[in-house]
Amino acid sequence: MAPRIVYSVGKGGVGKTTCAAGLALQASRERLTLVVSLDPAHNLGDVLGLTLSGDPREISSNLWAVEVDMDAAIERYLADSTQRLQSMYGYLKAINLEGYLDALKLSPGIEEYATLETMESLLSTAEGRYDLVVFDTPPTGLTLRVLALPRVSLLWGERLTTLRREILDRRQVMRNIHGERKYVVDGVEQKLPSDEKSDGVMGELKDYVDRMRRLSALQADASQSRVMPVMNPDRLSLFETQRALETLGKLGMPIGPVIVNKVGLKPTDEETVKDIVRVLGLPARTLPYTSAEPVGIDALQLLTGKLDFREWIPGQRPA
Amino acid sequence: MEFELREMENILALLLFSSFVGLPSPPSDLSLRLMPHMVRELHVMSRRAGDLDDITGEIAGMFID
Repeated sequence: MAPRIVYSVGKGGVGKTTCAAGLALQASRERLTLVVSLDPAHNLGDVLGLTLSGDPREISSNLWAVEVDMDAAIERYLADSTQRLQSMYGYLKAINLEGYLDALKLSPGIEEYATLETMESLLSTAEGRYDLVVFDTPPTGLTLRVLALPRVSLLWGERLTTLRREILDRRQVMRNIHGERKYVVDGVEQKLPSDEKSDGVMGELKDYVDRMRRLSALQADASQSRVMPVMNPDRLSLFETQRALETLGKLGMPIGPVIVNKVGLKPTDEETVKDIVRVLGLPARTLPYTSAEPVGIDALQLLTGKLDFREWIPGQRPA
Repeated sequence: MEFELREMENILALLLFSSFVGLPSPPSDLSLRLMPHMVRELHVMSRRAGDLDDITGEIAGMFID
């Protein structure tokens, strides 16, 4: 069975890693749980008081944790892309593909695609092995772009499929008139595909559209995934959360309630929480400010006594 | 030379502002996936780029293709 997914989303320093770890710990009492840090500046290990790596480590009964090495993930993504291009090896000389791939490492969008592929591959390995996957996400900007990718890419995939279909239709007409058309590249003669089955481009587009459609549907399915926004009772945190939730709402993602962390430091905090509820239009749950940061499994156990994290688990009935 | 300059100016403008005239760039991930299947198109593009300064050749080519 596919695992349920929770995304812990928030501005840097608000406590999203602590909340992700708290949720994972509480969930692990009833289900096999994997907590994943996708943040390039990891601190999941710091919060748990343990050393983590790119391989899931069992940190308590039913609970595994992993810190994804994003640089390695980008390298892997590029290596996979290069391998896909091997079939046109003869071309590397002609258009300097090697130089192009070097430049790709720094191109906009690559980090987002590498992050999306990492999430996808983690979810497919998690299938049947874990009941719940908790993502501690990178800074808000990157997270929003990654989560928007399936929708944007689906739109592109669908438009290009329509265009490709029109090209193939016309090729068929030409084939009916002139017979099968062939072309020669680097001395090798090949047939020009004119139907969807034999056309590699169409095959690739179909796979791509299916994949992006599946991901978009998964994101919008309240029985499968949920966003857990974490913020502090201050205006900057509110503005950023408001913008983030607006974008996530457009993607149809199930959101909330919002966790307002570190409440009680300022006398006005209670009023700010009321404002947050009003502005965001979401219920809020609060966690009090504590002078000592909750680090380690025992401290996180105490945290789960202060807040019932189960309500963020998709498909879970409210307690 | 005048023709070459004009073409170079056009190419630069097209690369920079194509999205404003209805030629947006698709996700680079999708382009990378489709690239191995479009060797012929790349070949044509690369030949065309080379032929840009030979407009007579291009026109003559239309009758041969």
